[in-house]
Amino acid sequence: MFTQQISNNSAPAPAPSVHNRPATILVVDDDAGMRAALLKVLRANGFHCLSAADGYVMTEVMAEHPVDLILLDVMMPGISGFDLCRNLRQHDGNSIPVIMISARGDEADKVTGLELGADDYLAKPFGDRELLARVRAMLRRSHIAPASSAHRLRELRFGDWTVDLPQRQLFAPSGARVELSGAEYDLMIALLENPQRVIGREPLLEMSRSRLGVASDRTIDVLICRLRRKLGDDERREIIRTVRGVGYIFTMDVERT
Amino acid sequence: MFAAILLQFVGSEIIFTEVEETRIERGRSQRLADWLLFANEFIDTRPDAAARMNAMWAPRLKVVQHDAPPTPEHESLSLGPEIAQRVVASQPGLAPLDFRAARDGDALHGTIRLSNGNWLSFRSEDYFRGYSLFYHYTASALLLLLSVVVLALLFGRMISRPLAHIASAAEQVGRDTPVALNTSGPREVRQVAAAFDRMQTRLLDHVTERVQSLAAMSHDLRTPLARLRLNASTVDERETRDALEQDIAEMEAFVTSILDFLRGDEPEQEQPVDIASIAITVIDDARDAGDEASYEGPDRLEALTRPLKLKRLLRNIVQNGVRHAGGAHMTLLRDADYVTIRVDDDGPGIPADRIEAVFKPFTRVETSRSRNTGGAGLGLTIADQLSQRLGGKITLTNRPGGGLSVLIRLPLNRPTVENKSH
Repeated sequence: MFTQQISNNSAPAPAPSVHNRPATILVVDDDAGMRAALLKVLRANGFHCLSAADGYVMTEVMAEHPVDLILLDVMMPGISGFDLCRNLRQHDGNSIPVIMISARGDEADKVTGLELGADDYLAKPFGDRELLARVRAMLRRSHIAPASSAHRLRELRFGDWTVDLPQRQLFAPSGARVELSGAEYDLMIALLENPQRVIGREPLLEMSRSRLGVASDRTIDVLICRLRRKLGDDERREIIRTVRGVGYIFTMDVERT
Repeated sequence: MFAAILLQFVGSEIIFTEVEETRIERGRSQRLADWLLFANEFIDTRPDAAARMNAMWAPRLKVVQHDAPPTPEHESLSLGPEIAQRVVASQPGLAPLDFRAARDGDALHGTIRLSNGNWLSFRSEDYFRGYSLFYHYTASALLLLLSVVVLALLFGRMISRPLAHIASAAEQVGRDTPVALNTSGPREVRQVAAAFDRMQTRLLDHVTERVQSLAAMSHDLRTPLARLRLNASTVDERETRDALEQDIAEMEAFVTSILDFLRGDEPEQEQPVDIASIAITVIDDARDAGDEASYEGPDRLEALTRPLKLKRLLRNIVQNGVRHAGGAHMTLLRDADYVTIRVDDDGPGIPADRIEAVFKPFTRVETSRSRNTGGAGLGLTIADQLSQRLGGKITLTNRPGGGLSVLIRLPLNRPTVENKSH
């Protein structure tokens, strides 16, 4: 269904709403100033917002209201954001998308958050554009392809290449770690999730969560070019093939584990 | 050291031998003189006197009486003045008896003119045999020397090995991880090792404490900065918003570089990494941010290194070029054992006398062209620190055509490519 839309290249950008009502975002942060600032920006952009100062309030709010997305601070007194996220996924079996917010921008923290079931990770300090781009992308993503918490994948393989999903890392056939930017990684995952299918530029841009400030069709072409170079596919263009006038196709078999 | 020991032993042995030799020699000449004088007195008292004396002194001395000079070469008999003098001197009664002697191997033979007018020839077979003692002493001295040398080597080794271990450990202190010291060897060396270990622990504790407090401060600044940034975005007046955002960006850059600086010490595993992909990503990020940056080099270059540190290193160098010189051009090269990363810019360069100074923390080279360019003045400090952590070296040179050239040389440590089965 989804891919049909893509191959017709007729899918309009899904609105940041679910079932014809504004999306509800729950902001969980112990810092009142941060909560207020987040609510202000999100409300100004048409989202319906709820807030909670800690895990207990968060549970209460979620029992009473349907929530489409949670913005969860990592460092909170009492129950940390990591624990809340794990409880949500493991005990409640809840698959509401979670974006972790942390003041620690380091790799280890990011990996921990993503391994515990968070869907994305925002490092403080971030701007309104970055916040809105991530929130919108996450809402679209959960709308078109709801993540199933039952079987979270750990690894994708194509040819001799490996993608470590929890660590968001690509490994070359030799085992060497290949550095990708956030946008390149998201684009690669979007391609790997739909192997051997033609995907239009527009849907690719949406699925790759458009981490770049200014996004256009051209952005995808640039990203594809960079990805090809890193995959050693710059010359032959066999792994990612261009479908003229439509978009791109990922040609290799993808093995999921 | 061994030369000194050898010299001392040989020297003392020579002196000792000399003294001993003189003493023995004196005794011998005394005895010979006594016997010859006795022979002079006794030879006429009975007819078998010579035979009796020979029986008494055998085998040390043999005497024969002659009524004519005993041998044709009698006239030629002579002796080194020292021995002749010594023999005569030890018994003054011998002086008028015309003592003549000569050496024949270990033996001493010679003649005296007896008081009765006859000649007495004598032969002492073992007169000089005592000299072999010299060889005996030398052998024992050499044996002693040998055992001393062996013992010295043994002890030296016992001490020097743990000491070398401590020295190499001291070399390592301050790197990524605390150094484990295996404390073996003599008691004193073990004490040194233990003291060294305690010092290392105190040092690390001290540094960790300071780093943690600085890191905590920087972390704590991130939440207010995030609040500030979000709130600034809701300011309607564009000019005010831009000014606010500019200030916030500067503060962010400051906090980020402080954290980068502190994180230089964080341990990180070496792993096989595509260095080219890191370089390309750093350059692409700069271009996406609207900066002038370019990359020249291979699409893939694998090496064993620490990827987060390398990325931070390259990011700092490129940002330095972008901030202070309006752009950065990166070149990646590799030879047999090294990866060379060169980042050139077209800026004003650094005055020659400040090139060393810019590696010090919080140093800024302010020139007319770079006004308030932001940053904490830590970019090159971080780059230097990270280069060292990666086992490499960073050098700055002003390019002849103008601009700065940053050269980083990293050991390649090429990973052994494991062939995955198909």
